[in-house]
This record gives sequence, C-alpha cells and structure tokens, in this order.
Amino acid sequence: MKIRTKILLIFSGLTISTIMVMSMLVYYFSNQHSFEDFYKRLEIRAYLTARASLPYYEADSVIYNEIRDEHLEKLPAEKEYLLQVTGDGQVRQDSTLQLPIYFYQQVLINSKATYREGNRFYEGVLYKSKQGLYIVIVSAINQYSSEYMSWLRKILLICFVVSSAILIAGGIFFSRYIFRPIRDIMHQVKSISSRNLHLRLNAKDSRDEINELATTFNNMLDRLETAFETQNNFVSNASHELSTPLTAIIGEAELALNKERTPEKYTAALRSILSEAGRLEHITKSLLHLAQTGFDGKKQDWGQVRMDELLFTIKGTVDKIHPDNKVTIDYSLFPEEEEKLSVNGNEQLLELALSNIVMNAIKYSNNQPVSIALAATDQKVLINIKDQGIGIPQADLPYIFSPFFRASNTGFFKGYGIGLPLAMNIIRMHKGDIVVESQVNVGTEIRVELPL
Amino acid sequence: MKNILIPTDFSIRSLGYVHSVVAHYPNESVNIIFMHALHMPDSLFDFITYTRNSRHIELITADFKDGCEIIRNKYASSVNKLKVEFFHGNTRVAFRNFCLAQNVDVILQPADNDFICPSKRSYNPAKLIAASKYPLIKTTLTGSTRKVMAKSTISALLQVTE
Repeated sequence: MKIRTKILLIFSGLTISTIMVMSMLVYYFSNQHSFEDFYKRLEIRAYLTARASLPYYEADSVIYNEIRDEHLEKLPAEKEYLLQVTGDGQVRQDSTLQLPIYFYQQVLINSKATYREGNRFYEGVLYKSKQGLYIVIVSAINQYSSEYMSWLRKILLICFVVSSAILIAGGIFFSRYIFRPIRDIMHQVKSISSRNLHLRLNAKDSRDEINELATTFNNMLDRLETAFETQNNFVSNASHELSTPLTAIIGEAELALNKERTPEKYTAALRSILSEAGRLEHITKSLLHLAQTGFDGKKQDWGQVRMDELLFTIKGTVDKIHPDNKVTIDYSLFPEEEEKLSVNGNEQLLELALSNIVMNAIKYSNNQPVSIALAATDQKVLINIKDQGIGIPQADLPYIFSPFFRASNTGFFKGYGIGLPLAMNIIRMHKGDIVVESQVNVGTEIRVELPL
Repeated sequence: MKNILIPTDFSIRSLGYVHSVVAHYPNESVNIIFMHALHMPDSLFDFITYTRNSRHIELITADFKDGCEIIRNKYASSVNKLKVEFFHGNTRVAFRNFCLAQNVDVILQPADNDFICPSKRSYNPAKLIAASKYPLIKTTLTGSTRKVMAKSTISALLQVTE
C-alpha cells in the first residue's frame, strides 16, 4: 500500500471515529435527559390531578382544574388513574392498567415511581388526602421527545456524513500536497540515466527534509558523475598508454623487416623492441596491482606494522634506487610511546604506497630535499611527506588519484599515472586517507592518515 | 608542576610554542593552558544570549585538535595536561582574575606578532600579557622563518629548519 493511502486512512479513520463517538455520546445523553424531563412533567400533572380530584376543600378542586387547563398543555394520550390504597397496604387495581406489581411497591416505598412501556410513560405518586391514601398514576405518550430525538438523530447523521466527506476530501488533498515533492523527485530521478548524468534535481533553498533529500541525491549524482568520467577516462588513457609502446614495437619491427640489414641494426632494433616490451610489461603489472588492491576484503598477511620502522625501510629502498637522494626523516613530532606508532595493516602494501609517494616527491622535485615526518594523534598516525618540487596545479588536484591521469605540468617527467592511484587504493584499504596540498613551483605536501 | 598559559589563535603554528616551553623546563612536567581571548558582546541582546563556551567551541578546528594530540603524544612525559580555555573580556582585572582562576604560574609571551584573529570577537591579548605581573617567557617559534604551505597543516609544527 502506498504511504499516501496509509496516511489518508489513518488520518480519516482517527477523525471520523472521534466524530462518531462524539455524536453517539450526544445522542445517548440527550436521550437520557429527555426521559427525565418527561417524567418531571408527568409528576407535576400527577400532583395537580391528585389535588384537583381529592381536594381538602371542595372549592380547591375548581381552582386546580382551572390552573391545569389554563397552564398545562394536554399531553398526547394523557390518562389519569386514582387507585386507592386500602388499610392493609393493598392497592385497588384498575383493570385497564397493565402495570407490574413492583411498580406499586416502589410507589408505596419511595412515594413515587416511573415505568415505561415502549413509547408510553407512567409516573406514579403516593398522595395522602382526606379520603385516604391514593396512588395517582399519570401516563402519556412521549411524542414530543421522540420527535425531538429523531430530529437530533437526523442532524447528527447528516453532520457525520458531511464531515467525513469533507475529511476524506481534505485528507486526499493534503496527502497529495505533502507527497507532491517526493513524486517530483521520483519523476526527475527517473529521467536521469547514464547518458545524462549531468542533470540535477531541483532543490529549493528552504531547509526541509525533502530538499535535504534532493540535495543528498544531487551530491550522490556528483560522485557518480565523477566516477563515471574517471571510468571513461581510464579506458581511453589505458588504451593510449598501452598502444604507445605497441606502436613503437610494431614500427621498429616493420622497419627492421622491410629490407636486409646488418646484424648490428637487427640487434639495435631488437633491443629497442625489448625496452618497449619491458615498458608494456611494467604498465600491465602495475595495472594488475591496481586492480588487486581495488578489491577490498582480502586481508591476508595483515598485522601490526611499526610505522617508524617502515619509514626506515623506505628510506633504505630509496637509497638503493636513488643513491644521491636528499630524503630526511623528521623526528621532531615522533610520539614518545611506541604503541602510538603501530598500525594494523599489510607491511608490503603500505611500503609500496609510501615509497610510491616518496619516489614521486623525489622525481618531481629534481632531487630537491624531501622531508618525511611522523606524528600521532590519539586516533591516527600522520605521515607528512613534503617536497619542494613543481607542485600540482589547483585545477588538477581533484583528479590526481584517478588512474593514468597526469597533471598538466608533468611533461618533462616520465610516468604512467599509476603510482598515486595505487597508493590511494592501498591507504583506503587500511581505512586511511591522503590529503594533498600543493602550490605550483613551491612544493607539495602529502599527508597520509592511517587509523591506529 | 607549573601551569603555563599560552595565547592561541587556534592556528597549528601557535601550538609550536609548546616546543620552547618544554625546552624551558627540561626536568619538570607542566600543565599547558591554551588561552583564546574574546571581547564581550556590546549589544544587549547578544549579552543576554551570551553563553560561556558553546558558541566559541567551533573555533577549535579539527586540525588544531589533531595538533594538540600530536603534541601531547610527543611530550607524553613532560606535558601533563593540555587544555583550551576561553578568556572573555578585555580588562586587566578580568585577565588577572582569569589567571587566578586557572592557577597560572607563567605566561608565554610570543615575540613574533603574527596573530590572526579567527573570529570577529577574537583579539590579540599581547598587551594584557605584557601588562600582567606574572613571570613571562619571551619566545619566538623555532621554525618560524620557514615557509608554511597552508596555515592548517601539521608541517607548521615541525621544528627542523631547512
């Protein structure tokens, strides 16, 4: 069931049942009251009848009758009975009256009693007169109040029907009104496919939940679009990178084969083919690495890695590859406690990631000094790698972690654009982060954060 | 154990004064109180709704917090406690009361004056510090001649000059 119909049902069910209960209570209590009222009227008539029929003085009878005729309206089918009570407490029955015994007893005990037979009401009072003890019974049909009650019933029913109709109509309108933005969003999201990822949802400025939802969707679309573009770029860049050495190999081979050549020429051709093939192999190997680190979840060979030892290992490796490097390890922020230096992770992978970053720092600064600093907060270890190289242009910063991307000012340096994405993948596997700050021709500072 | 007050503008750079404080008391553990001075509000409504801390807590950046933790980890044995306090007011009496309440022993007076106000209400308390009767440590940052790429980076804390 749709939420809209649910809201409508709950809303109208609640209000309509409240109205229903209210009308029923109104009907019940007015019904009760109309009985009481009618009994009161019968009682007055009973006393007047008694006074008029059994007066103390004969003259009173006339006056009472006059008052009765002048001031009291004759009730519909009004009947009066005067039943004498004999000395031993027996009531002289009237044959036309079909009243239960307990009614008379109640009159004798309480000196008045009521009885109802369908629409006919009886009121009996005990009256002590000169002539003796009498039970005066007045009965009448409660026409007035039954009319009144049926009128009330009609009004209540009409009100109930009309108000429920209004409520349901209002409920439909409001549930539509409330869910219109959601339907709009659904409509807009449906129109976005892989071909028009640049489309965004309309988000107004007001800060209600629906707009927040739209903004969240838009942010997700931003990320999706970037990922899509990266993917597209990856394929074109990868094929470009792979085809360059292949073209060189093919060209070299064709050139060598198109006529007889000296053995030296063949050797030279083969050597250049070998170097290009080596380059190809290097690219495919790094690609494989990148793909492997991209899978999360495989956590073989994980353990506690001492970051300071790791940095010394990296320094040693770098010394082997670039003997004249100026990499220094900055000790000024080393924490005193050793447990602040251990990170849960894979040592080989972390070494690969960090040495990639350090090698980049050396490469793009033409062997200027590079400093590696290690610091620890309570939750994470920070490794700060700082060079004084060519820097990364601001416009390129968002893309440096996408495979095969190379910043616009790296023309003079050899590289494939795989190192940093690989490092990022590895650090992400360790639930860490890489923060890059850079100024062109001043230097780059890369901060690697790894959780303790 | 000494309580040492360091004025701060919540830049990582200002955390670097801890280096000189620790160097100044080599065989003693110290409590460090980073103080940020704020003007009292001047409109009546601001004054009524003024709370002691809550609104200014957000001046403390995540990087500053990280920096504090790095410093505390580095000097785990010599820095006993490191906390941030806000000083509300701009009179000498208020400052004296603040120092009394915080039980300050020594105040650090930065000799290099590159205080950057992080908010409208912040101000540089250098004058109040100079006029106070507490013992002062005058100091400059050890690595302050170095270019710093961005104000917020951890490298601002590094001591080694290149």
